[in-house]
Amino acid sequence: MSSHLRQMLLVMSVGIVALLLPAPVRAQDETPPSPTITITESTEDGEHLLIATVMLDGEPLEGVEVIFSAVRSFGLLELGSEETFDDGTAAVTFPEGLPGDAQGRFDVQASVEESDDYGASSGTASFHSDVSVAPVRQMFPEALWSPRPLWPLVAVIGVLLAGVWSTYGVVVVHLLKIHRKESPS
Amino acid sequence: MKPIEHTIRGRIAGEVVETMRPFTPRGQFWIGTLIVIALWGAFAYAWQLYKGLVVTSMRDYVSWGTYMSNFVFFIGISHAGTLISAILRVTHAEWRRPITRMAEAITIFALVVGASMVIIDMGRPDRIMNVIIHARLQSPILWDVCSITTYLAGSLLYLYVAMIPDMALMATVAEKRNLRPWRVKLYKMLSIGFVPTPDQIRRLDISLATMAVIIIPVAVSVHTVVSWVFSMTLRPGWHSTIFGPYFVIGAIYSGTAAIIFAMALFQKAYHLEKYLTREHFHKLGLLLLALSIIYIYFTLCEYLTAWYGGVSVEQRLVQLLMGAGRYGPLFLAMALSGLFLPPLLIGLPGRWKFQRLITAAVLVNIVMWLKRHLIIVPTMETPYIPATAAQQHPAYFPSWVELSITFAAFAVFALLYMFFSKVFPILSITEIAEPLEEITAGHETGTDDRTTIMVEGAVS
Repeated sequence: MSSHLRQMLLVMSVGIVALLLPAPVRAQDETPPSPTITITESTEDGEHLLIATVMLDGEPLEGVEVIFSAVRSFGLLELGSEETFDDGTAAVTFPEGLPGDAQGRFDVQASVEESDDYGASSGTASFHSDVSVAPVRQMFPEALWSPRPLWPLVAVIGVLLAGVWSTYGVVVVHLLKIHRKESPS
Repeated sequence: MKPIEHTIRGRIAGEVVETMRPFTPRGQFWIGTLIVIALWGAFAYAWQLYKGLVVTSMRDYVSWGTYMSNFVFFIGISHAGTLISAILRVTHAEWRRPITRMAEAITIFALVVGASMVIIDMGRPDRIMNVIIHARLQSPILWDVCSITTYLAGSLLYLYVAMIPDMALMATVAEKRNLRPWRVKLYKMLSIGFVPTPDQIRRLDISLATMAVIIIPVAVSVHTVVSWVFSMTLRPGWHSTIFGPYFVIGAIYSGTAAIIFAMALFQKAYHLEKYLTREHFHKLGLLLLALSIIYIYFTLCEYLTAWYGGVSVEQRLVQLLMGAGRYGPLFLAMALSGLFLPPLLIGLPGRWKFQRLITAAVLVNIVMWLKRHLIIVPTMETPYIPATAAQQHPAYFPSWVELSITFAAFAVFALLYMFFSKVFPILSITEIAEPLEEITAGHETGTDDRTTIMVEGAVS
């Protein structure tokens, strides 16, 4: 039996043994269940509020700190935090004047951190702002970061390169004609 | 028909062949020294490939250093050749004839060495093809790749077209003088069977004129695009509208100085005083003088605007360059010895004019490398958000690897140039002979007696 074949058999047997071995017993999944969070807006006593309701297995969760954040372009902007009451609700003042998108919409996230009794969780809901920011329409979009080259750029580079290389081509044709004139003699 | 050795071309070719003899012991010493420097540089690059760019001094803040300075410098002196030769050819400047070949060869080798600097600057040169495969036409880096490739191809074609009549002549001369067979074969192959029939001469003239015209805008575009690699980025000192012409003038300035230096070396080494006369040096000296004044003007425009505008980040850069900062002494040395001293050396009347011109040319080349370094590194050390905010104090000084590769780049450039001069005639024989032949023809038909003295003086 060649050494090459012996090596192959050895590798195969090691593989088979590894497959037959019982899988290591996984540690029991000890992750506690995560609560669900819903966010609404409401006006109470003349105050415009964002209200998060935290429920665990259908029951309100009391005494949990809820962090409210607005979702912005480059991360979360914290709006405030509050512990839930016995009905599972926590509230912060609605962020008046926070700019939304072109339609005036912005997202709010409410999150809770994990504890011994429950896992971390978050919920997101969309709200309407009084301030909308329409994207700036640029006459000349920033070329470098555009996903594909702008056609005027392609056209200019293409025409310039084609013009120069075709001129080289004309010169090469002249040289080839000089070469061919000599060949018969 | 006269035997070739009795024609004007043949007699000039006979003298030029002398420059192609094997190296003298002194030449061998210089070649050996350059090879040792090049090999040391190769070892340094192998070390860099093995260890990664960490062996350089380039880090997060200063990510372009000596390699990019070399790149801009070599692309700059590449303008020596093709651009100056083409401008002189297009304008029918007769005095150009002995210097065109030297100038054009500088272009080729400077481009090859300069372009390789970009690859050396890459952390993963094995991924070079990604530049093509994942090309982003939006990026000035790709514009640079396109323009340098186009310029190299055009310069090679331009050099070659101008060499064809000389190759045909050299094939005959090499056979007559029993030079090595490989030379005869090479010259014959490169002559592509050129025979000076009216039709072939016409085709060659059209080709040469076409290349001389097209290569001028290509050369200008190359250094403009090199400048755009910097000026398209929003960095202090770089984001400037005059960077294109500033770089082009800087390139022609250093390129002209490079030609003067190369001419002086060849004149001394091969005793070419008959072809490379004081008149050639004088005219190139005047060109260098004019360019130095234009370059002073551009430099003034660049820094005065930055300083006067008062933008804080630009102020920090100006302070770093011209104040008591780390680069103050270097900038002062650059300004005095590279901007103000050369025009004085060239322009002031008095003795030692030739020696002063060569000194000015050497100074310009050294200082123009330094200038490129001062354009690149201090700007990288001056980001918009001060590095001190991140408890960083970027201070770049090239590592031994970068210095070794830089010296090797200059050594390889010199080696390529020297070997070229040993294989091909460094003077354009046909171009030198043409006016002399015309004068002789005029004399034979009785047009001018004075020409006899000129022709005999030139070719005897």
